[in-house]
Amino acid sequence: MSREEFMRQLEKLLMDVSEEEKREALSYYRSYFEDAGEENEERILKELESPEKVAATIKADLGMEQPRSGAFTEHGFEDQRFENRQTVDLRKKSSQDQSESRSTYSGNRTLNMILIAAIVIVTSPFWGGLLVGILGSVFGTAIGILAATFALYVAGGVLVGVGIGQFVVGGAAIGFALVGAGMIVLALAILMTALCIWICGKAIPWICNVIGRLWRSIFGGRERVI
Amino acid sequence: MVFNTGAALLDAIVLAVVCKEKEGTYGYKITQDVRQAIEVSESTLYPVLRRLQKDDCLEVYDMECGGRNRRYYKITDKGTAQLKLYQSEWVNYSSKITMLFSGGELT
Repeated sequence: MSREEFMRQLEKLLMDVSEEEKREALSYYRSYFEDAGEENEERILKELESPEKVAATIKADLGMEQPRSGAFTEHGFEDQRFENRQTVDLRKKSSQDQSESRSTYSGNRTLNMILIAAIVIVTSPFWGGLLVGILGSVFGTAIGILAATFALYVAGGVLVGVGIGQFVVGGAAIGFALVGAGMIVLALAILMTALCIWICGKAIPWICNVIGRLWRSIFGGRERVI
Repeated sequence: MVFNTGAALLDAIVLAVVCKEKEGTYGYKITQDVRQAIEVSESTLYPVLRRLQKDDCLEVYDMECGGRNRRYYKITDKGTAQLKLYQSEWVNYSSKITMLFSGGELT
């Protein structure tokens, strides 16, 4: 490549640079060649390598390209962008980025797990209390209903007994009334028994089932996250 | 040379080279003078000179020489002050490293 050819290509490559910067750079290199003299022309052209490299150096300093990736080394201004391995380097870099993002992702997952565990531990008194409370009230209600049923049987039996006693004493009307009341109470007691059977047979297993499912969805779910 | 020359040190070297010439000096000569100290390629110095000029550390003027205009670079007051700063920083920096290399104690 001749000096004229070099200058022509450099001018073309500096098309997108401001008019002033272009003029400055071109006049610098033009006078550089002139000052060096014809005898040095070939050496300088060889050292400048290519108009592309010179243009990139100028643009890099104007902040038009990516932040300066070059460095002044023992061989002068070196820039990896001009090395032929660029494509390979880029691919290597992108795969590195991928593995990096993957490790960040699993890092996030570990973080999430720790966070969930921390929340479970910190709120465990609350959840434990709630669970015990629900179970307690369910079993309390059940026992209460059982006790009420038992009391109704006793009350019904007593009323019927007292009513029969009234027949013996002579108050037939009071006897009938008491026996009737006792029968009504006994009927209520039988209804309550049916309720007890329903509670023991259906409601408690259902509640246990619901609690079990809840447990699995919380802790089984966490296992799936892991 | 196994050590890289950073942008600040390159600025300092260029300022020192230009400072030596009271009447100013030009691109090709600056490159040759810098090369007496460090290895630089021909394309290294233009951006440095242009930046120093924009930062008002160097001023440029054109002078006719052999039937054509030659661009001269001359150091400004600001450039001189900047060079002084670089020089004192360099003395500080290099003397510590020299001391360390020679096995002496840092004070």
